[in-house]
Amino acid sequence: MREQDSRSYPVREDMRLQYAVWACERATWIAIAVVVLLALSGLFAHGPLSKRTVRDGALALTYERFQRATAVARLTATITGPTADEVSLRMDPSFSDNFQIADIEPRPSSSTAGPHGLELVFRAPTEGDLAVVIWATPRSFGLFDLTAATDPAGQVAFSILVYP
Amino acid sequence: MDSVIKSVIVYFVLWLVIRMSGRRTLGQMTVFDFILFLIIGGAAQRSLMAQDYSLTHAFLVIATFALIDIAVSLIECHVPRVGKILKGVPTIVVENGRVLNGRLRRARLTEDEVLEAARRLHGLETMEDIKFAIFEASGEISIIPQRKTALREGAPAGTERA
Repeated sequence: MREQDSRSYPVREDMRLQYAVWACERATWIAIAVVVLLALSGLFAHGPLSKRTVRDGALALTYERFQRATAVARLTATITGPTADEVSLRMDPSFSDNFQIADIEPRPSSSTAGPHGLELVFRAPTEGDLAVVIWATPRSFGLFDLTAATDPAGQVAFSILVYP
Repeated sequence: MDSVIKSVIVYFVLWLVIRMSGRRTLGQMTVFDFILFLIIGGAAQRSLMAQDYSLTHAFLVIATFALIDIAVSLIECHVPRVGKILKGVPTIVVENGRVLNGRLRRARLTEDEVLEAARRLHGLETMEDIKFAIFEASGEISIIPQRKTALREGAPAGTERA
C-alpha cells in the first residue's frame, strides 16, 4: 500500500483530507510570514510605510497614516518661520470626533472648539520653527479624512486608516 | 455588542492559527510552544478586554466562548466531514516497524519523537518493535507494539477491528 493511501486499520484515515490540511498549513505559514513582513514595513502602523509628511505653505504635518484603535499615535505639526507672536493650528471637527487627544506639546496658550473644529493657539518661539506634537488615540476604526490648517498660510488634507 | 463580535473573531482566528500551526503544538508541547501559548493567551486576553474590565464584559466574553464551543462540538457530532476538518484525523506514521517518512516529515515529527513515545508508553526499544505509531488528532502519538498484535493473531478475523 502506498504512503498516500488511506488505511482503515487500526484507525480510519482520510489521507486526502490530511494532505489538504498539510497544504493549508503550509499556505497559512506563508500568510503569517507575509503578515509579519508587512507589519515590519509599517502597514499595520509604526513603520516606514505608515509615517508620512504632508506640506502646504508654512505647515508640515507628520503623521501615522495607519493606526490602531485605542493605541496612541503621534502627530507632529511644524510651522516654519512664524512672524506673529501667536500661531494657531486648526484641526477639523472630524479630528475631535474620532480622536481623543492624550497630550499636546507644547501646551497651547488657549484652545477653542467650535463648528470649524479645534483651534489651538501657541506662543511663537523666539527663533526658528514651531513644532507641535499631538498625542491622540483613535476612538474607533475606519478611514478618516482630516484637515489641518495654520494662520496665515498652510492647509493640509490627510487620511488616517484605523485598524480595529 | 462588540464584546460578542470580538470574541467570535478572536475564537476563530486563534483556532485557525493553532490548527494551522500543526498538531504538534497541542500534544508535543515543548518549552517554546508553552511560551508561545502563554503569549497568545495574553495578547488575546488584552485585545478582548481592551479597557473594559467590568464583570458584565468578562461574563459576555466567557458566555460567547462557551456558546461557540458548544456549537462547534454539536457540528462535529452531527456533520462528521466538518468535524474531521475542525478536529483533524489520525495519521499512521509507523506501519509494521516501517517508518512512513513522507507523513512523518509533513507532520513535523522525528523518528526520535516516535521512539520516545514508544519507550515511554510501552518500554519499546527499536522501531521494529512498533506495529503502529499513530499521530492522533489530539497531537499525541499512540503506539501499538508488535507483541500485542502477535498475541492477538489467534483471535478470529474481524475481532481485532471491532
